[in-house]
Amino acid sequence: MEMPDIDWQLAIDSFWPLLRGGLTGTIPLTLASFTLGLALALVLALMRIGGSRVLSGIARAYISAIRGTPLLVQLFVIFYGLPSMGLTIDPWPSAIIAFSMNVGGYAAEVIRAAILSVPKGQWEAGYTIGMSRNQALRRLILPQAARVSVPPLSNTFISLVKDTSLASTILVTEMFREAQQIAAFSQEFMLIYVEAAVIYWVFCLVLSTVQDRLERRLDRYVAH
Amino acid sequence: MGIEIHHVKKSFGSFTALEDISLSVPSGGLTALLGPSGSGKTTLLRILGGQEEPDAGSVHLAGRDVTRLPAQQRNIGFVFQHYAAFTHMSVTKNVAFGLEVRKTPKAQVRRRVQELLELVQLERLGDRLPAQLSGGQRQRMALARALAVDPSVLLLDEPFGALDAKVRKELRDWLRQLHEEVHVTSVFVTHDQEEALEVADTVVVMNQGRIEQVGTPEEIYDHPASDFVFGFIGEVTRFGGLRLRPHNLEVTLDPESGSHPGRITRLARIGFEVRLEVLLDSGPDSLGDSHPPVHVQLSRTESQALDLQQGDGIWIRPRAAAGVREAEILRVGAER
Repeated sequence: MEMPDIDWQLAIDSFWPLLRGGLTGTIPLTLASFTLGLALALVLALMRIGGSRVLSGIARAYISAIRGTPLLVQLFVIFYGLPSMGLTIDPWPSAIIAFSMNVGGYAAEVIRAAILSVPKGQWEAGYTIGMSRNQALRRLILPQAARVSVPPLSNTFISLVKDTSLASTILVTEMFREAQQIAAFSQEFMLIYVEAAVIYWVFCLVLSTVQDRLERRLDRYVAH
Repeated sequence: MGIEIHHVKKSFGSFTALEDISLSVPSGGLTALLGPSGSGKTTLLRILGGQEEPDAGSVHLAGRDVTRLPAQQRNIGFVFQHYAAFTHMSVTKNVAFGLEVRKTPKAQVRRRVQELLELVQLERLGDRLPAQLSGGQRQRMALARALAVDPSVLLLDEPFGALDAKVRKELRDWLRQLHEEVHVTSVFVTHDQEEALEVADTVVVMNQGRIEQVGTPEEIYDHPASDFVFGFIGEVTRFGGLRLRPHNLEVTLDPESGSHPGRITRLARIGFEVRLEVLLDSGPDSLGDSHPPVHVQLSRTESQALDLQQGDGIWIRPRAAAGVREAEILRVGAER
């Protein structure tokens, strides 16, 4: 293997387009999908723990399907598959829908476990001081479940940052698609893909730091 | 107008938690539900609190039929064994929460919370989070929270169960005092007979889903209604055909009428108390071939006067006074 000369000028010139792809593609895609995905996950988690067998069954089947199939396949079904049924969705909404649905499936189990980890006495304590089931859920259970679910949900979030690169396959201009285009044009595959990898890595490092801070903040609510 | 329980039954699957419970708890009293685990005491409390529904029977709280009423509408205060503190809220917020849910005006909430925090001696810790409190403080906060809504009945589930011995003792005295100030009809569950006898003014002894006896601590201790109560409420030892309290045996160095010889196999000093384990000598007039070791409890003064040491040969017999308290001596035939 020979060591190639590094084209520093290309590295510098391509940095901004890559970062822009990250800032205008990767990050908005991640944030939008994660937010919608969490909302979906909460609904699914509540369906799972609620009294209804039908709802619980539906949620369970959904979660199983999402977790049992590749994200890339889910993405393709929505973007390339649905048009054959007469439903064509643009790249960006397709990506957001696929990623949200995926996050929903994974995060639902995290949230369900977190809700169940809050002692039953918390519900009962809420009821005795006059709260309805809904009030107890919103004001007692979910805030305490949130604390438990921060570490696993952070992992889901960080995975999502990297998974958004799959959106390049359905023509969404995010960081990785930008990298592919620059690489194809300049023929400097190694340089450009490593550069993109480094930027992903930095994004994730920043997120890990945020996660650490958040966990430490929440830790003061736990008795030692 | 306190609490009226009529023919309450409750099963969990094939397990009968409560067989047929009828009980009347006077208004303003402090009542203990005492029993071993599985006796149904917690189930009964949870039926009062609305956390469980009885299979049959009825419950009246302060004159109101609450049998089918959800917990929210019963106007009770409930203190849970493991505090059930709202860990994401400050102490003040924990106490205020029940009032806020009821849409009480803010100024009134503030006043009431201040009052309650003073009552439970946490007025300087209002801004703390529950995680920053000790176990005893957390349980006092739970009590303030339960009292905040002006409950007609206060229910406590093993309120001191999770605390260490010293704090438990402090809190017991404190609960007694608090009850004297607040005078709300209170029921607490415990498996600790000392706690029940010391704190409550009425003790309900439960066993296997039934009530064995209801009475004042004195009545329960001095006149146990059943073998079970006798055994559960204090230590019991066997002496020939008798079962009696270890402190109702007398130790002498020389034979007396009705006494039997034995040897001290263990001697333990616990504060001012001395506990002996005595193995009776076997012989023609022995109390049975395989008599279990007899437990004797003496004061330290008595023990010192006799200069008792492990391995000494001694004589023991029931104290004269013990014969007077008929109820304390039950025939072994009924032994479980």
